[in-house]
Amino acid sequence: MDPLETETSRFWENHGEYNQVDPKSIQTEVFQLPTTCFAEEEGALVNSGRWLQWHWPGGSPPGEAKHDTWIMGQIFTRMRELYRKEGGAFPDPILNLSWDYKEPEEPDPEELARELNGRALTDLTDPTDATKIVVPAGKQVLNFSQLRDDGTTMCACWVYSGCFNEAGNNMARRDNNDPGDTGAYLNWTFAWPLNRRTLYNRASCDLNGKPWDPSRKIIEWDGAKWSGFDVPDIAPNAKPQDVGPFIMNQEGASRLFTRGLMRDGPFPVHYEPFETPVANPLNPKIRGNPTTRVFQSDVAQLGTSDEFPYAATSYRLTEHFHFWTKHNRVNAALQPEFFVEISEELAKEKGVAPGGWVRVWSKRGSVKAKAVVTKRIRPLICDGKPVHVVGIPLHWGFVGATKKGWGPNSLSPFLGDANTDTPEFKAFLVNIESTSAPGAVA
Amino acid sequence: MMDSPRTAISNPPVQPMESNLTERDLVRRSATSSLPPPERQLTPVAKLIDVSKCIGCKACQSACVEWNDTDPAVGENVGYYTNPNDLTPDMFTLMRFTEWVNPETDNLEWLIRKDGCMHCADPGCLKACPAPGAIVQYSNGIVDFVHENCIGCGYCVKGCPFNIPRISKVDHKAYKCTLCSDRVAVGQGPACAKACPTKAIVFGTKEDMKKHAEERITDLKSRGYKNAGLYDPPGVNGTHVMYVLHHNDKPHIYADLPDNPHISRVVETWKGVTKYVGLAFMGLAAAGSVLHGVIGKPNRVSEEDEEHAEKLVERNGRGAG
Repeated sequence: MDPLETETSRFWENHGEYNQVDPKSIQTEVFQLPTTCFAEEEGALVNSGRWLQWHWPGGSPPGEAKHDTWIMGQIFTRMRELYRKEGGAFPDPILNLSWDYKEPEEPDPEELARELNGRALTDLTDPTDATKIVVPAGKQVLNFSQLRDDGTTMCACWVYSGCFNEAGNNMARRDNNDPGDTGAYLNWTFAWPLNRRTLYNRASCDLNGKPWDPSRKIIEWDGAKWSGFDVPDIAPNAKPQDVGPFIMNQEGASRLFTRGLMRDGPFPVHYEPFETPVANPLNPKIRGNPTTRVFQSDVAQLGTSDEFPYAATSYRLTEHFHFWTKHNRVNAALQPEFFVEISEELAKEKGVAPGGWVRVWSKRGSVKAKAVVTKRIRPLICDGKPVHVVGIPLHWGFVGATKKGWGPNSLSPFLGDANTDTPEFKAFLVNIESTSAPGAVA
Repeated sequence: MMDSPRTAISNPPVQPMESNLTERDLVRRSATSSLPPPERQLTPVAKLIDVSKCIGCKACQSACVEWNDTDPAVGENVGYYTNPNDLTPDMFTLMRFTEWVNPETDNLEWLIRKDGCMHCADPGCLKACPAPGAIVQYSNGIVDFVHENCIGCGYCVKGCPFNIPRISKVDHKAYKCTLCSDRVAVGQGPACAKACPTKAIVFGTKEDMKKHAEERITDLKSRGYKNAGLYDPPGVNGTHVMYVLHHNDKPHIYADLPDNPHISRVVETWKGVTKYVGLAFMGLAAAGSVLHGVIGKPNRVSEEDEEHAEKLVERNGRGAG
């Protein structure tokens, strides 16, 4: 399922030098189900400020493209039918899965959003007064504070609870009033959790619960409770002297170091990348970060600076968004072709002219690219020696509206950061030489 | 009837509107001597491009293509960020990237200039145009090409001091930035200005844009750009697309922006009362050239000059790295 063609889905297709494979010898059968793009769908977009912004389709899907929900609904109902007819070792999870949609073959985005919010499955009574019904069966819960762990409520994602309660679709709200001019905009869409716009906002107040800057009050302790322009990120009646802002830490304060959570903690130490042209001045004998998870077979694929003297890094360009926009003719015209950037010094050393073809290779792979020769990348002086840098933007492949090209992942190592496993794509070693155009006989 | 729009960031009208730019608002019409004076004067508009705020994202180029529904070719990388590597009949605006080392500070400055039609108050293209009504100027300052009247002769290219118009190989007509005259006509600013994420491109009345430029120049001067200034060249009586340049003392460092643009003297002579004399002269010259072809030698020097000029243009274009 994908709205756009990808190199992964076309891995079996021969694209000459760009994807030199023999389709006949590949036994994988590929089913491509074209889906819709966000602008053709109804649903919520979630931004880094945690707003769930409901949006409506701006256009009709092209060709045979279908919504993900339609495809999933079709597959599920047909599989369920097969299990119903043919049975199986344990069909119960499929046969009894809750699938209460008006049209089981195509769940509606609002129906799904209501499930994200959660609802009462039986009448929910007040814990202190069993005669008082807080939420009648079948009604949406207000937010996650009404969820229970005894099977009487359902919720698809507790942090989103509150997004679509009995007040309606809160993600579709578009009131841009901002009382107090704080930038909170509490009635614009819905922010998870609990419509709170600033996490840990109790940190904006001093020990007595008064704003550090009275002219920029977000919340405040009035002697009995917390209130203000944002939803307080602290129990409403927690005394400011008793409860600190960082409520997820027992001590209520933020931490400068951690005893247990970082594999290379408690304090960060400098390690060179696994592939580096210089020794780590702090620990010259150590390669990379010793706590990184790495497979033996990948260690064998690490190069050294004798063979690969240049530092490479990968990055994105403003003209493209990841690998999507290479399918758009406008973006394709603005950055049409895979290139690498090198300094004027390295270009001179290697006899590379601007716009000429270069081959860049690492211990793991080889690519060809146009050369952009730039003053913006100057050789770095490391340990007294110049280190040349090869910049490799990542927006091209062998499918799309742009000229065919490669990605830097053909070159980069299979390593991750010690704590998060974030790939080490920003620093590795390559070599570079002038070459002929792909497909041309050298 | 509404006057010119004051901004590019307003939302579009939700009801169909009459166009505010009509034949009656023309102040100049190519190869037309009997243009009646307009009944009203629209407030002059301008687009201000603050080069110091541009991040080179090319959103303006993208918006231009989308709004004008052009179909730019997917070209090739010739070694620079400037893509395509020149204006085309399908790319009315182009970010030109120049890596310039400031000799005073030894700092690298990545100068990114959004190239395109300057909408000269004194438009060389219009004056050079021999096709009646193919190029028009509205009282708000917009210089527009009317394609059904265009004969594709390319005189506008020669007449333009900024080397902007491009002739389509498909329909043999000249194309350039319209300052989104079709948007301005219904109260909207140009698509590029609306798309610009840093507001490096802004749009409004020419007076407002000059005031805004003053604020920006004061700010730039306070940051050490002592030659910051407004590019509104007097050689063409000012323009309706203006730049704020951090180094206004040397516009040429911005991918060969002319220091002192003016309409070529050939075009100026062709224009006005001399035009008819000129036409007669051209008739004679045409007859003369036939005779010349018969009895004279081909004029080698002029061909070489042309070639040399083309090389210069090409080199300068390529140099914009």
